[in-house]
Amino acid sequence: MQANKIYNFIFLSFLLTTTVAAQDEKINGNIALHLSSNDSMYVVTATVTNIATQQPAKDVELTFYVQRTFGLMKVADGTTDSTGIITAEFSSDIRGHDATKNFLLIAKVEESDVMKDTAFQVSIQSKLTFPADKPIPRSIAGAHAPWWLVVSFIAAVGVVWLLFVYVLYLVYRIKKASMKVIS
Amino acid sequence: MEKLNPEIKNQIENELLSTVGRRYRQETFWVIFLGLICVGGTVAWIIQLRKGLGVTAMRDYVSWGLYISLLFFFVGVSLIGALVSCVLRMSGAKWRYPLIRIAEAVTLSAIFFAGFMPVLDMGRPERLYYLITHGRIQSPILWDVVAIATYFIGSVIYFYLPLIPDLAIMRDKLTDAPKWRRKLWRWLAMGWEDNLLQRRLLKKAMLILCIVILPVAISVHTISAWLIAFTLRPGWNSTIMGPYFVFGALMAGTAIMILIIAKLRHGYRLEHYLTPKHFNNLAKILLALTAFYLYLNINKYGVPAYKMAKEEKAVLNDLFYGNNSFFFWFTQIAGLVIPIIILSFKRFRQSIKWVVTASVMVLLGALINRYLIVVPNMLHPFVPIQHAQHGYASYNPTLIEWAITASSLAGFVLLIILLFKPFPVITMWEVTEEVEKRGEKEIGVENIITLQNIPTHAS
Repeated sequence: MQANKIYNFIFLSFLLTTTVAAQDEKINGNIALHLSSNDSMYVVTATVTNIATQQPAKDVELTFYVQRTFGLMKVADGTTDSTGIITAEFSSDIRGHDATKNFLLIAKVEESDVMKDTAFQVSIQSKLTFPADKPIPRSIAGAHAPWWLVVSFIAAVGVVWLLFVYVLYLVYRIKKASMKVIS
Repeated sequence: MEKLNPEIKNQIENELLSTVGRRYRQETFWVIFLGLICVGGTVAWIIQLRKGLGVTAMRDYVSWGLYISLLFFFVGVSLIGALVSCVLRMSGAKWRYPLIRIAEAVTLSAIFFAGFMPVLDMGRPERLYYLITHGRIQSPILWDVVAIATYFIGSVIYFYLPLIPDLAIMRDKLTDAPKWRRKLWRWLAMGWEDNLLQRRLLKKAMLILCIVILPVAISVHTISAWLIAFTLRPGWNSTIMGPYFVFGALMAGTAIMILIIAKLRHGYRLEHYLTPKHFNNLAKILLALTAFYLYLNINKYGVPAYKMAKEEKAVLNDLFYGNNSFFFWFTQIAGLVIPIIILSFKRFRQSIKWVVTASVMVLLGALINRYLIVVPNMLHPFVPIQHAQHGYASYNPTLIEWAITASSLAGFVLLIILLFKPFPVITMWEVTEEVEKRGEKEIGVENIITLQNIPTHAS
């Protein structure tokens, strides 16, 4: 349950990426992430503030991603209210991507009219183990081939190759049927 | 039918043997030209091996590009051997005899390059070894490798069997050939004396192989279809893929067969053996296959288009209106509809030029169709990559890929030409035997009984 406590109250600590498109009228923002969970969902609350004024930034569109091996998986999105807060939920059935069971939650502001592009990330410990303790049974695609497939495969290929060998044996008999002596 | 006059038989054999080892100016040009393309492709492949697959346009989305498209094409073309040697044999079509060796040569060359294409697609080809040592028997990739290897070996044997009596004729007749050649022919002829026991054994061997090779040939192409049909992707997630590939293959194989016999008929002056009857009969087969393939296309694309499920929509729109729409409609209209119209008329079927024209269109359509089966579907996966890098969501083959692809096609044609250099194009013993039994008309040959009156390059 200690693990639960860890990700129940994670507070954002650092800025990862910074502004991409600098436009004077857009503000530089800060995102504070607060995470909790229930039985099946993570609940993330993001508080967006203007860095210069420390005031809440409203109407900022925010997208939440989870880092996966080949890219970012979008899990939620929304727009901040007048208090600069947005709350979103995503499934807690997300596996960590390394042996420490951690995965990254990334909150991004992308092409917003209000705020310059920015991204914040936080590391979360998954409730699920990594790797899975037992291989997931997936019938034919599983780790071990079913016996009937092995038998069918070997039988089909074996019969064909045996017949090839028999045909070559017939060729050998053609040679033997010759009256001539082949040098 | 009476036995052929030994003089006439001798004349036929002389004419057919006259192509063996003979140099034709036009052929020499093509051999050099195709050889140079192959050299260019080999250089491109060495660059690819040194620098990795990064020199191609294949990325996370399109990981199978031109190479695997060409694999499907070659596997398809290779089915022609099974069609001519087995299907036509079982259907009792006697006119197949002059075509058998040509079909087997096409098969042999096609399946050789089909086996080579996955190696080109591998960044580390030496790891193919691990497929043998660590291959998973559940994987269609392993099935494909085994099926292609089996079909290749079967095709080599099937190419060789009807060659045995011809090798004996060459051994006995071409006594002025270089010594090493005569030695090779003598060794390969297996002491053939044309006695009854040898004939019985040879026919038995050919019958067994004919029965075995047909399911092997169909399995090769079905398994190639399963490579993609077992993958959960829009466009690929379909049960029609097996028959779709098999009939598309037979169609492409028949088209390429027509083109090759047209070229050989003219180039090697085999007008008496490869006659309008063969073109007419192959055109009828091509018509039936093209019409059936159009029907399969209507099912493959029409049924999902009617439903327009969300997952299929992107790939279908790409094919119907998007970037690949020109190619798609070309394959449907120029590659299927127009050839069907041309071949539907008896007058056109009896004209070699029209049959060849229709075959070129079918073949071009079939070649592009393989690309359309592979690439657009890979560009529209069920779960797109979030924020994929620029260039990942499109596929424009690089010069390296084009060079390797062109050299594979050139190598395919070159190998067919080279297979006809040491061996006669037509199966001499079967043709003369069948002409004796059934007459010229049924075999489809013309005027070979009165050959002594016909001026040929052999005389």
